[in-house]
Amino acid sequence: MKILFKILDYIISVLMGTGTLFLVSLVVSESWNMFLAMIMGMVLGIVVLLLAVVLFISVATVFELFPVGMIITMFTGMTTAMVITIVEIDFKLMLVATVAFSLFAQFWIDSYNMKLKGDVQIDK
Amino acid sequence: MTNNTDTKWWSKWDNAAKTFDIMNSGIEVRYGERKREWFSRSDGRTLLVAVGTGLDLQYFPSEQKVVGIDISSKMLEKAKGKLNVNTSNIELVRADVQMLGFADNSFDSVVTSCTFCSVPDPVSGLEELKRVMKPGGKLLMFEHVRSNIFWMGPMMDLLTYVSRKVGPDLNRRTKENVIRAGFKLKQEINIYLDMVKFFEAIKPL
Repeated sequence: MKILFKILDYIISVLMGTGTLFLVSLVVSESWNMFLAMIMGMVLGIVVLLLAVVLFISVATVFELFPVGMIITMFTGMTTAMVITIVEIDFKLMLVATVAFSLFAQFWIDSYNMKLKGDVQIDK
Repeated sequence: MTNNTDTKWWSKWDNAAKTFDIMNSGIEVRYGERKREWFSRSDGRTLLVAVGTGLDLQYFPSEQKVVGIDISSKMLEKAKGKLNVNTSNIELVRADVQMLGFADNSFDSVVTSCTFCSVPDPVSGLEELKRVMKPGGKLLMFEHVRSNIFWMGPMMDLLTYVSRKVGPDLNRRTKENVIRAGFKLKQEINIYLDMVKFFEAIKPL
């Protein structure tokens, strides 16, 4: 069961990343001011995160979705928006980068969780 | 029922009752067995604070005497629907943890599950729990708290401005509150990062 939840976490992370990439590419165009585009990218990322929470709340917890979700969606949103305003994006490349980043972020949070998990020293 | 100046602070929990089960199903699916294990440390007459819609009632053995309280009547209505012949030792009472109507030293154990993220004055709530607990009684908690991770804590502070409108605060310092209320902290376990935790505390003799 634990391994299924872990796989699910990685799938959700990739969906959040790619969902943000798609949404930002739809909304932001190269004519936008870069700063505004980056802000919009982060906002759209948060929208995707909230959607993911609603969609996956029955199999995941808000506690687990938010930390990794914030990293993935806000960073992907901001970066995608920035890239759109600078160069013509290679969508395939962006998609691969987003999937890789989402998987890495989930792995990083999991590793950090493994470090923190368990008994905490109590001050006597 | 409460000292709080906002006399209807619990109305958000009446509203949340409709979607409470689905909003918490992920927690039950992922942490249910660990909660069962943790709550099995409780014994004797047990007070379950913020019983909600009764999702946690399944984690107590049928012979254990459990009094479940909640501030929301809508939540309690749903919890009553979950009671059956196997739960005849369970009593449900509408009550505010900050002002309990139980006698001093009347419970052997107290259990909370994502409770002290929502109590307006957590220290006064914990002091009330200490009052109704017998000396040496156990307080077992499953709570989410403010993270000390450098970027997560401030983020949780910010999100709390929104989350408290419809549900819990995300930035409670429950460990510190437990100690301030006069409990002796016995064990603290990180369940997810440093934001979801089990606590075991004792009412000093």
